[in-house]
Amino acid sequence: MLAVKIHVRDLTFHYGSQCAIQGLNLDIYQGEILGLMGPAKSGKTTFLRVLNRMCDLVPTARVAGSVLLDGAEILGPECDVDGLRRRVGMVFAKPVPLPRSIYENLAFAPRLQKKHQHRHELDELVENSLKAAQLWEEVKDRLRDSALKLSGGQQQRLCLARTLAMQPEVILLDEPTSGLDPISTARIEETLTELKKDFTIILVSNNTKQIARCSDKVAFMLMSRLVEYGVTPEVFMVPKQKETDDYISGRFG
Amino acid sequence: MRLDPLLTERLVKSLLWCFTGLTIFVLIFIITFISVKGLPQLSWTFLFHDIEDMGRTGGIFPTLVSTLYLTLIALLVASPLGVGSAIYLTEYTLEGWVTRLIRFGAECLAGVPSIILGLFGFVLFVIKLNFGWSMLSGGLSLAIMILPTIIRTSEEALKAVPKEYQDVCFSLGISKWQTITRVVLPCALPGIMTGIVLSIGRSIGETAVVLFTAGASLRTPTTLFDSGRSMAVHFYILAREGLSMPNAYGTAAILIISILLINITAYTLMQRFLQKYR
Amino acid sequence: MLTRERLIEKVLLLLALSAIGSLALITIFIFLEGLPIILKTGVRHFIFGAHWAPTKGHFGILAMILSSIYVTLGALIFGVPLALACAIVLAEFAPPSLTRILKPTIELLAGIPSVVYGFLGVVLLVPIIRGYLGGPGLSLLAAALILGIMILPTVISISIDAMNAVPTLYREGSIALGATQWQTVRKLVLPAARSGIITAIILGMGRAIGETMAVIMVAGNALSIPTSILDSVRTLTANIALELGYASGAHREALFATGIVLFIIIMILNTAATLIAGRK
Ligand SMILES: Nc1ncnc2c1ncn2[C@@H]1O[C@H](COP(=O)(O)OP(=O)(O)OP(=O)(O)O)[C@@H](O)[C@H]1O
Ligand SMILES: [Mg+2]
Repeated sequence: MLAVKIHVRDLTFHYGSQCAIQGLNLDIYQGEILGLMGPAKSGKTTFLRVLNRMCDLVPTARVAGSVLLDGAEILGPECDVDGLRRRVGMVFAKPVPLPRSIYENLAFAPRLQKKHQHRHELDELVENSLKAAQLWEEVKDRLRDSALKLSGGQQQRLCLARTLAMQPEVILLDEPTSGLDPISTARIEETLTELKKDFTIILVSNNTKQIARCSDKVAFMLMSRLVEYGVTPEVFMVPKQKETDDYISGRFG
Repeated sequence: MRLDPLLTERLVKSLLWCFTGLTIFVLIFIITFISVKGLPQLSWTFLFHDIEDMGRTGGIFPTLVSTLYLTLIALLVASPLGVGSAIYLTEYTLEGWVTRLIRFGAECLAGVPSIILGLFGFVLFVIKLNFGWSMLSGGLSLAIMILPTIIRTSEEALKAVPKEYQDVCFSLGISKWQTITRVVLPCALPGIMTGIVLSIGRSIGETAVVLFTAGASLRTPTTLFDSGRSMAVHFYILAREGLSMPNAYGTAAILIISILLINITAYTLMQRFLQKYR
Repeated sequence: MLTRERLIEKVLLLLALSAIGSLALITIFIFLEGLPIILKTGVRHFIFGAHWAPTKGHFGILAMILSSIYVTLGALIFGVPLALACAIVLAEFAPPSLTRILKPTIELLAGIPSVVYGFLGVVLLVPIIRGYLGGPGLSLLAAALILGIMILPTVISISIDAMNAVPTLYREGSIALGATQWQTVRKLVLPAARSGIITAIILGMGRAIGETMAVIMVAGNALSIPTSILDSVRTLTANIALELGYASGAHREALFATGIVLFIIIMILNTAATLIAGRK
């Protein structure tokens, strides 16, 4: 049996008076990919942003319930938010490289943490992260070039590598392939399957086929609620809820 | 009686173009006139000699030093205040009565006439704080004058930096202050510099504020508490007392040309900045 | 770590209060210095008294208030039509490539110091006025003309921004309906940009009424209520600048009192501009 990494209990989230997550209960296991799917505005992004407290940035946000990471509460005021964000990395739907070199994009956060003082340590970290994100071969000769010159697919892998360079425990991916071509998508999916040995991954996607291909468990959200949760093949073959069936078979509306 | 619209169109258009031509002509003429009259006066001695005989002969070196001194003090005081205000307004608060109050204050301050700033600097710095007519009094008064410009341009520059950069930094566990100093400020730097450079131009050309706070001593100021006349004040005195027309023209030429160069620099910086983020 | 971030936020808030704080300090000091003499003279006598002889204890600034108003109105009469014409041409008629050069050129000229304008007024304008129209040359007319030129960049640039803010779609619709360009501008663009243009004019007015050095140099500074545009006049600003250098005691207080009047006028104008600009 795998260990529970994140334990979500009765999570409810409001933007002002508008509810975005309603009474959500979910366990996320170490070393697995959880696929999270659902129609637009069902609260997927909001859920990810709660997990690394990025939701704090919205002034009107109100959150209730409990989220435990390795048994420790992360929603309370005593949680070290910057530390949490280093443990729970996030890749956004739209790749946003910082306006710096490829190398600097990766080395930026680790250097500020002061954990990696030595030049060769940083070099090694950058190289390993780029390799893990399958970008190393393409950029190894131009690490000092601006990251803005990379193609969309490369930029998204750079963002993944940047998250990996923080050596997080959990990686949140919010529709990481929504803007990419099939080949880049395939490469990212391949990368994720490689990475799940060492990380806990939550993959949000609108593409049900992608969820079916990559994830171990799948969760389906609809109108702020968690409707279905289970082992991927089972959910896709015999969904328990009618809404899930409709969504998977594209009969939604 | 109604005029034919097409005829009106042509009449009005030619009239408006004439007015525009006149405006542009006047403005260009000012620069050309001063340059043509003033540039021939410039020489090594004019630039690097002491003022002699109240400005009838000799150079303008002390006024260059005073101008530089005053501008530097003003910038050193106003830049941190202005950029800090802008950071607070853009990154740390929501729109609300606090921001409205701060912005209203900056806008009103921008409209305060320089003679009032001169009066204020005179009573507070020169008399109450007993700094006397000095570089310090003058510099502080100028700092108040340029503060609104720096706040406004810095605010615009900071707002132009994509919000996504901050999201990325936060998601990497970088603290807010580090995000601002390492990512947001460097991106906004050209825009912020534009405001600062514009302020340099204004400080150099300002007369009323400086006259009543820094005085009009002919000597080259060395300490913060020395009085000294800026280039603009020197020019004013030369012209008003009719001491020396050639020297007045020469000083005016230096004033105008340096201010134009400075403003062109500011403009170019701004264009670069806008191109990068639009 | 958390406390450090909090500390930074507090420090930044302090910095952010610098502008409003300076404004408050300015208000306090000007009033502290000037108010006693106004109260002693009586508001009515101070503002409506026509006799200014500070060394003999007469503090009436009516002549200067009127001069300031006349000079400012004169500046608007010369400056606003030119500025609006320029703004209309640059925003509506001129090809964009020309506007791209001319607008920054005009804005650059906002940087010319006021002493330079004043000087040019003295060497170029005043002799012409003296020669062709008579009088001392140093006059209300000269001041109004110079100020009219000085407010051009402000008014032009804000008006252009206001007109550019009118959506292009409206314009195209109007042209498509067969209106000429001028009809479009008059019936559509100008009304839509009205509040921006009024703001521009008010700000120009503020600049004109607060301008000191240029006015001192060309207005002649005589202490009487002007009866013709060729009369020499002394504005509120000029009065302060001319006498502050040697004034002391009650005389100096009276100069600060003059500053109070000027300050109040400017604050009213600024508030009006802010209200009008914010009302969109
Ligand atoms: N910053 C915000 N402020 C206010 N409301 C928000 C904010 N972000 C999201 N919402 C609202 O919360 C609800 C959930 O949004 P969320 O972005 O989590 O959905 P999503 O499932 O990620 O949708 P999508 O597939 O379109 O990305 C939506 O109704 C949305 O309008
Ligand atoms: Mg989303």
